[in-house]
Amino acid sequence: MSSQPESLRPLTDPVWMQLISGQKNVDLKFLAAKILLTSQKLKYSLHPSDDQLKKSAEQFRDLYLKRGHLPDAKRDIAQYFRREK
Amino acid sequence: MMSKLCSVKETRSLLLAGKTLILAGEEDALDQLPRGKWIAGTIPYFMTSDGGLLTKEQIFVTEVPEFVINQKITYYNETAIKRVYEDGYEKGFTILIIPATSKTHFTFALRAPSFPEFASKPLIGWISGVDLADLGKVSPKIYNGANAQKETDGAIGIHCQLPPNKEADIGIINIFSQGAGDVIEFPADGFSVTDALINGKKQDFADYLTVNKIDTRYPLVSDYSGAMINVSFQKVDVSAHHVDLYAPVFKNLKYKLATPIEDYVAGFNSELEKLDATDIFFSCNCILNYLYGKLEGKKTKGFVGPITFGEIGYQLLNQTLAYLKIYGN
Repeated sequence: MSSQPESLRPLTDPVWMQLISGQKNVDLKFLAAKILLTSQKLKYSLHPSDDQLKKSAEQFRDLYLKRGHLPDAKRDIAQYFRREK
Repeated sequence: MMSKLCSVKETRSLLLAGKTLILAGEEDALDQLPRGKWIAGTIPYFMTSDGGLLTKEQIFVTEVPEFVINQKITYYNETAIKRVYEDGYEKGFTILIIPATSKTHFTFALRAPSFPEFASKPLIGWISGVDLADLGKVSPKIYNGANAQKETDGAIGIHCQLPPNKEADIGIINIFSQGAGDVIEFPADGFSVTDALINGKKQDFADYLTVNKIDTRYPLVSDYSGAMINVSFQKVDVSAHHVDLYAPVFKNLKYKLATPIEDYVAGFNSELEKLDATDIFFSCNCILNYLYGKLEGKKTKGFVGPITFGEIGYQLLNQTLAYLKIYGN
């Protein structure tokens, strides 16, 4: 497998919402992502609506837009999309 | 990058030379400093290169490196604290200090995950405190060196912008993990608990801890997508059916009691061995680790800084060592 990370897929990719809803679980490396993902999953569990799911997914993806170049973040991104290769 | 204990005189000299400093020390020592580019919080406990130490005369000094392009010091009150993440530079880091038991401490602990841009930029910091002998007699403080003002509420932050060739990132060292026991949930967010759901069944939480002879030196632990995040016990009052905590628990999160640690120092040093401490710019460790782990005089390899009444690594942490690395050419 290539060591290069996947480029960041758009918000329309189902993976982002699957991560928030808990349909997809991965072993994260990036501390900011671990904390943000848990807080967004918590928000969604308290307010389970399509709107909240989209907002939470967007905020989580935004973290990688800003900091996706960091080594731990790159590893996470690769994990999110690994099985779809 | 300089982080070490200094005398008041040495600290004054650094400030008069125009250095930007992040400070931790006793109130009497910090009161002697001139106006300048510094922020501070009160605490007399430190991790030093010679081991854990209580000193009321010296100040722990972290110097903001020369390569930092821009910096801004901001005081936040209880309302304004919600801006702390969005105020950070897009490429940089923020160090934040909040006085223990202040309104802002509780607001930040409970609400930070709802603040705009939460966790989107590196934000590390600590909760200021006092000598444990002065608990209840003296209030923890924060300082804004620009006007040499001290406050018992609010938060003081320094936002630093990094050049293109530098990166900042936060890590934590938590020697605790979830034990194999009961799953514990809480009906509401908060620092105080009456009832808990133990494996889904409602129980008086103080009774549960007492009947099961739980050692409350060890925290509740929640699994944040792989990061173990602690909530430490402050007080268990069986007659009042009340358990007080040093950080909030959150509704819908699952907690477990921590696996007991036989040897704190070995636990820390085992984790520290895995890390390269050379790029560490700032770190802080918890007063409960200092106390329960008997860290006075004992070294935590390469990690120096204040021993605090709570750590901040994006959000409030307990019984955790938090650190900020700055790396790049």
